[in-house]
Amino acid sequence: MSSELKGKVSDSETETVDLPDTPSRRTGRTRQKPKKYNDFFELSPSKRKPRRVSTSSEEDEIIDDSCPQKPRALFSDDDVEGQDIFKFKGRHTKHDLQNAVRSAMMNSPKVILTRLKTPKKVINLHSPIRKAAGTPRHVREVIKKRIIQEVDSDSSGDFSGSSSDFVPDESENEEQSDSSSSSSTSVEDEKPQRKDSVKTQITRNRNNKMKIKDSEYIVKPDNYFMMNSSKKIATSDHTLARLKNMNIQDNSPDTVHISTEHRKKIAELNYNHRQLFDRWLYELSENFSIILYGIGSKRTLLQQFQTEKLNKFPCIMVNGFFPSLTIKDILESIVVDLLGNTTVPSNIGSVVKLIDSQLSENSVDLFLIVNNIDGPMLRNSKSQVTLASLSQIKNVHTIATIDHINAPLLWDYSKLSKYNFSWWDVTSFVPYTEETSFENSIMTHKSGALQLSSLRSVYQSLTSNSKGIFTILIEHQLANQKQAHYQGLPFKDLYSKCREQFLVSSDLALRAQLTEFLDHKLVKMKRTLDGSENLMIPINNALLQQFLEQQTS
Amino acid sequence: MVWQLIGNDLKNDEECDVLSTKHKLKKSQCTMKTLKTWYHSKYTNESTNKKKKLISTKTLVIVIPDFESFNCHLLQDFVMIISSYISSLPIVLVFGVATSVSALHKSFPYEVSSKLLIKVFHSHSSAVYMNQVLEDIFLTHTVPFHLSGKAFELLTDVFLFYDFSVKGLVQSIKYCMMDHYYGDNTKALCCNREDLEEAVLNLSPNDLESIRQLKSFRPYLEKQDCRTKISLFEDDQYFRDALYKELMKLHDYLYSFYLCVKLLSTLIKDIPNNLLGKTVREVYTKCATECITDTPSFKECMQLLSFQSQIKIVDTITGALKLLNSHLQSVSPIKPLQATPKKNNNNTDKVFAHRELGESFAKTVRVHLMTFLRQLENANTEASISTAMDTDSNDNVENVPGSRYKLKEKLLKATRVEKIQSEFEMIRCRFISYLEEMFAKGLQPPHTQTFHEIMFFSDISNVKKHIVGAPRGALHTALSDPAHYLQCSCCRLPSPESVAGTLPDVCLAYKLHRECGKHINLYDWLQAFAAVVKPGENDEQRHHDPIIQSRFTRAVAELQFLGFIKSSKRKTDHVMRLTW
Repeated sequence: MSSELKGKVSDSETETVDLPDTPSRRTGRTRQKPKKYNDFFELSPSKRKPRRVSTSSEEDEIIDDSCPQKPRALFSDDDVEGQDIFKFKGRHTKHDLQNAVRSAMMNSPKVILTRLKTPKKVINLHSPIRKAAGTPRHVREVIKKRIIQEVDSDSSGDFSGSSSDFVPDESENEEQSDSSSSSSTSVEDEKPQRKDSVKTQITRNRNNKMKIKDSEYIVKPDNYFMMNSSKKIATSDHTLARLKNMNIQDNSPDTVHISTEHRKKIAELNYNHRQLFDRWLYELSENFSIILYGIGSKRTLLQQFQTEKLNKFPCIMVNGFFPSLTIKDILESIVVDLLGNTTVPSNIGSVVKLIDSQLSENSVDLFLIVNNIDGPMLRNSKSQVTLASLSQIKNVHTIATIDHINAPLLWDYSKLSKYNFSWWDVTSFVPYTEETSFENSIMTHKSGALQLSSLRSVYQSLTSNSKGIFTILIEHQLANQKQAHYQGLPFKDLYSKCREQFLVSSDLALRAQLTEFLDHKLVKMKRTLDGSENLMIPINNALLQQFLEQQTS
Repeated sequence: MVWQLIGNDLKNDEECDVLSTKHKLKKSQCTMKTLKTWYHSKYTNESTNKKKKLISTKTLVIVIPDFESFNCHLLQDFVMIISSYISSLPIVLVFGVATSVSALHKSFPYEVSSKLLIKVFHSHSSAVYMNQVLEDIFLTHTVPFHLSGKAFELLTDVFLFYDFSVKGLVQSIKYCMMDHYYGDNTKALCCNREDLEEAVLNLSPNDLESIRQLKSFRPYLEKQDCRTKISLFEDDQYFRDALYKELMKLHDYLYSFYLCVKLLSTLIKDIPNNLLGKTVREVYTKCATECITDTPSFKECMQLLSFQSQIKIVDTITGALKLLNSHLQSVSPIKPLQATPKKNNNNTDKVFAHRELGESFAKTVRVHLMTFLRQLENANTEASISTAMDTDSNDNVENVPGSRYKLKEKLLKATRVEKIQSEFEMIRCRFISYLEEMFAKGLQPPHTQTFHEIMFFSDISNVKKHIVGAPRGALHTALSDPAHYLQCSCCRLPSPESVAGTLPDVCLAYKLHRECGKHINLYDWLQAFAAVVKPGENDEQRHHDPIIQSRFTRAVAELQFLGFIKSSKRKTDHVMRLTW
């Protein structure tokens, strides 16, 4: 018995001896692991931590102290709630949008008369679709029941299948099945879809529960994955082509719509901001940089500032929203135009040094006004570093604006300390006319107004003969638009057609005409396998149709 | 390329060192050879006989700050090249490494790092520097500008939770100072004690009027009798005198306040749980925001202090005394200056007569502490003697034969008596009560003082906006609740989620887009937009309205510019939301 005991004791001894080397108590298992693993564990700081703590109690104390400490003065009641801005919303459906619209129309007093109409609108949108619903109702009922059973067994009590949640679900499913536009919606087809949508319902339920539970904003990473779990885009298949008149003009100032009251209030806001000019000047003189944020164009405000307060000083006005601006341009304009040098050093660091030395020699104060320091061309770190080191110079005073929501991410601490910003909220609601004019707008891009107008202007400069050639090309393309793989009009065919209409007399003449189109990228030439050249116009057919209609009318 | 950069580096180096040579080198000429020749011509020609000495003393120091941001290949080559010249050029490299020494080892392979003789110098963490800066510069009575508790808390919070940058802290204090002095003549009074009189005399009647309107003037006024009240309002000269007196009092108060703060922090430094905080700044924030002697944590601290052993308490008192002495020494040069106003103004005599704060306060505190110290040190022996005597008497009692009950009673008594008797404890008790009394006098929060607005900066809500900045929050409020900025009657919304047709277009589009998922169908979005803007029309009309379309286009473009959406290729006429 004593020997047994001894054996046990020795066993435990070996265990305890093993302990410092191996992280886990089960020595057998860790021995199986490769040697590298153990090495790694020994080297890794996390394993060393307990030992260190025992030796240096001071450090431990510091850590303990700092962890539970919370900022007190940083946050106040009038702050915008983080939950409002950054919260993951539950799964969105298209109904959210419609509900929002509907509630808005309920609220507005004008609509009382048309209130009856509003639901009609929704029905109108879907009524032709609903008729086409594929699956018979009883089949759907059966499936629904089955799914509910499944879900109930899955989520054991977590899911409370409230009937009210299922009502929109049904219509949604209908639309989904419609949107897949498969007339042969078999049961198998619909099943996964249905599951999917039910799942989304569950997630929504959970979210609601969470919202009630915690008023404090805590980021839940699960929500992110819930949002991105399905790759399917759950929006309707409407396209802008459904609009009857596609003539969306590019931004022109007369399209700005502001109500008169707002106009007045905006003017008041602007007046208030102008009262801050003296303060800004004072802060700039104390080597702070000023950064303006808030919605609305701040360009005019800065221009006013410049004309009112800085007209006696050298100023450089940079428009960061300009798409072809580079940091070199800014430096060049300072060095060449302002300081009167003839050459600019190639190294950016030396340029900054040069500016510094020249300004301090002549004791000139330079004001650098940057509209949109977060502009697309100034977003790279190189130009931000340069701008930061420029504004660090004692004689350079920077005043900049930001608009992009993620603009503050541009700067790390070293840059921020160089900039030494003081932040000013100058929300003005002035429309961004200049700033967005360069932006490749989604709507105008999609509607192709730009392409159309450029097409028109090129077309107008053509001779009547070449106009004819182009119309032949268009007509041919439109005639063959049903073809899935339209290869283009073969050159030979085009030549013969042109000969028929007496547009060209020779092969060479036609080629000469075509080069003009090719230069303007109105026509693409493709060589096929058999060596013949095919010509096609790389523009949307609908647009071409529109263009043709405009020309003929 | 590498050579050029090194050359450039060297060139800068040379330019710093050799402004006297004044001939600029071309980039292509910047090689180690030229450096070597320059070095030798400079330092060996001067005194050839002392050659050896000079080489050992004059070393070329190349400072490379921010080590991590350099291209490590470039540095490797640089080190290798230098190492080959080390016999002729004594070069010392100084690397500024932000992370840890391992960064150096990681970026340099063995053959490079073997060329270096690395010595590591650690600097303190930035929090240590901040405490130093704050304690030695800002939390002293010599600086006329003071931060109120809240403002101070804000700045330290920004430091501790955002950036850990001492420079940033100093800049934000500077900003607070600018804000304090900006556009207010009365703040000229926020100056050193010796300049105060002049500043008071220079005030215009208007400035005096604005001082009369200060909030802290009212309680002071209520204490005065009727006639002085009238003369305070009517007679500018009289008001000036009163103002001067009060400000002198304020200075005295500050003096004792900071003294008490520091005393308190030294006293409670060793107390477990650090209820009031470890550093002086933490104690300061607590003291400056509320009347600390009334707080439970202060009482607990005092209680804990009263449990301390003799040796410890003696230690803390000596520490406190040391601090007091250094404090008094640092002030003594100012003392003669304080005497000057006495000659000019008869009233000031009275001020000094009945002032119970300030330097005299410090002196009385010192005297008290010293006596306590002596007593406590003496108490050491006395207490032991008394207990010894007690035990003797107990022994006597025990010797007398008696009932067990009596003995028990005696013993009980003895234990009780012993507790009360111990002289050390008695003195300790007195000491604690004295401390409480003293701190209650000295640690009145600043906002109870008359005219504290002049010396203390407290307008944090204003400054906070400019120091911290919340662009995202501003955008969000502007877009979801434009009435907050516009103050217009048409955009008042029942709830932040609701929408209305009168909103500016961008706001409307923003609100609708918040209702969508990750992808937004442009057509549906447009339809919703149109339905809200023109609720009266039917679908067909809306389809055709080019004005609405262009308005929508503009709003979408602006949202894209603001970074809320981007175009997506995954489905036709869809955009992607970039926010959650």
